[in-house]
Amino acid sequence: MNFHDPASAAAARAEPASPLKPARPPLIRFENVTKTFGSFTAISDLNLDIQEREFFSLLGPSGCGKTTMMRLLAGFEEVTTGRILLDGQDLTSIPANRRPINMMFQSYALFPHMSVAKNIGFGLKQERWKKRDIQDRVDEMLALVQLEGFADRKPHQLSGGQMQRVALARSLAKKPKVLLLDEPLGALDKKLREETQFQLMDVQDRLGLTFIIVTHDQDEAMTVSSRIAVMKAGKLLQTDTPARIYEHPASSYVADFIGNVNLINVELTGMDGELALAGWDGGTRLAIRPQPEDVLTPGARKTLVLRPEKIHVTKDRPAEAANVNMVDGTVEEISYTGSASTYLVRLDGGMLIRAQEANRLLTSRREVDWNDRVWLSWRAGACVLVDE
Amino acid sequence: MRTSRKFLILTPYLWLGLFFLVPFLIVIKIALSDSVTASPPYAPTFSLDEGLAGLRASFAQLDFENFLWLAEDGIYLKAYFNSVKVAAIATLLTLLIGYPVAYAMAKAPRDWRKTLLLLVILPFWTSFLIRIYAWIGILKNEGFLNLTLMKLGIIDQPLAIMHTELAVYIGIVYSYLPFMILPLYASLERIDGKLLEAAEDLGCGAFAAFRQITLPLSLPGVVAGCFLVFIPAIGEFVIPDLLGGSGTLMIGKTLWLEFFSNRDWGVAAAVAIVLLTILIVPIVLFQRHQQKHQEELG
Repeated sequence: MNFHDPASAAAARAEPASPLKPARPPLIRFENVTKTFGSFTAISDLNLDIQEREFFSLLGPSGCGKTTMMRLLAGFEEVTTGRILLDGQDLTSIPANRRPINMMFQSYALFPHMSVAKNIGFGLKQERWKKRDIQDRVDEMLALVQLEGFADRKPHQLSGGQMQRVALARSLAKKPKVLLLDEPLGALDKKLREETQFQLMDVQDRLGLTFIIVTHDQDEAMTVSSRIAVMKAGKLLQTDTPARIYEHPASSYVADFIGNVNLINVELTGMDGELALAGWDGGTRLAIRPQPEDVLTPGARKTLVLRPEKIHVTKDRPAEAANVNMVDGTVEEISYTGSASTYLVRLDGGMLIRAQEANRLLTSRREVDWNDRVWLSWRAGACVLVDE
Repeated sequence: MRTSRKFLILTPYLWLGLFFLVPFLIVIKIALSDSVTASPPYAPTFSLDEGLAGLRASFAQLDFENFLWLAEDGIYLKAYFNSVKVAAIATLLTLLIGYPVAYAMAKAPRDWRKTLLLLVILPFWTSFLIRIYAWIGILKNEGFLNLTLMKLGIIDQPLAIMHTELAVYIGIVYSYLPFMILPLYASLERIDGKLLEAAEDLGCGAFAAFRQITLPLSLPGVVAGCFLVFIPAIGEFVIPDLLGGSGTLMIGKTLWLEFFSNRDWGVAAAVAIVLLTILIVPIVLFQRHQQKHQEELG
């Protein structure tokens, strides 16, 4: 497996600033795009900019409109209102077979009656390339996906992972400006999926292409993307880098969709220097380091987003500090996942909090056990407030 | 347990032996016999009246005279050749008409497909013979077609379609069209729509996608449909007899003439055996193709 150069990958990932103020003209722009099927609105007045060389994920539950976005880009569907621009050019009147956009299908859609080489060279043949040039490009693509020697196989002679790589090679053969990937790894088992994620990132980085991936798998989106757009019911809820989406979700829906989270309803009570103070139903006072954009009116009801791995689980009461929150409760459940253990702790008020600790010690040495009284603590800067 | 299983396996063989092999052996025997004016109209007849020696004498009388006769008289060769020609052309015409129909059916909205399928099978609810007679009513000189065309002023002389080879083609294409459409529809409907989207995505226009994806993937249906039409069309008797003229020489009709008009059972049986041999070759080819296709699928 070839790993990409970490520096350039980091640069690519950190690149996009605010989606509202792009540093340069975007490669793809959705302008007030609406798409309806009969009375059903799949996409509703959506605006989105995607920059060149991004690895962009459309993430959301099924039926959220992410696949429709992709099909609009590919040209299989037409926008109802609004328009989509590629490099500043309106795509509306350009049919699917003329767009410099290629797609890798979820089911791979390999042509069953053609060999691997014929499949990969299919797009080039349509452009009337010379036989020899097609051959060269096919060989190059086979090398890219590490399938040298498979040129003469038929699709039914390949494993799922190999079919996935042939599909990737076929969609890349024309060197499109944009590659669309529809749930590209959905049919692979977990280990192969992780390997393939790195391969995709490596390929994207080496070819310098723009990848747009549709997925419902948040781990996949987090791993591969430079930016993620979280979608729900035809709208974009948040478009941001994986880290921002994870740590600074714009809403409790986004927080809940990405990873495990404790969502706690709190009421703002006031400020303590830089820290906001809030109380929850149990009466416990919490200190939260607010974000610059947070609007903090005392008395306002907010939702506290607290990730399990930000919480420490200890038997002894931690040292008191202004910027440390602590509550105590009883361990109700421990689930062991190898590298970490998740503790479900019941607070005296009845609330269940999920906390996660890395298993630094062997399980036999673990000090916290079922039904133990424990203290949960987290720093004021480790949690964020979102609107209820 | 073992005996019941053996019985189960034996049943189809018994069936085939009783209703195919034994009659076939009888036909072979008749083909090797001589024609006589008697009842039955062939000799020798095997009987045990004269004991084993009589049977042996009967066997000695069998010869290949009838087969030699088929080779000597050019009319049989011509009939065989003409049958293959008519069947081949009719199959091609059926394919040309059936493919667009099957394609349109496979592309029709899902809830419509069952109804369309029913419409294709609907003619089978009327007897085959009656439908052929209906064509006589349509095609004859003062028939429905000619009267309509003359009323409309398109022609002033009736078209002579009845008793020509054209009428035979019309009859065969009409009768066997469902056998072409059904396998074509089955193979066309199975093609994953995503394949055509993928082709389009890779730069194909609609026609190029049809030529490179749909057509090759429907080929098993084309082959199956062609054999289902070609094989019965070769031996077709009713259609050339009722719609064709004396000029349309087909082997099925020749066989009937030998059997009923000439009462030459020996030659008729020989004609049948040769016809069967001619048909065996395409049947075997067909089965091999099907098998290969099955293996490729999985």
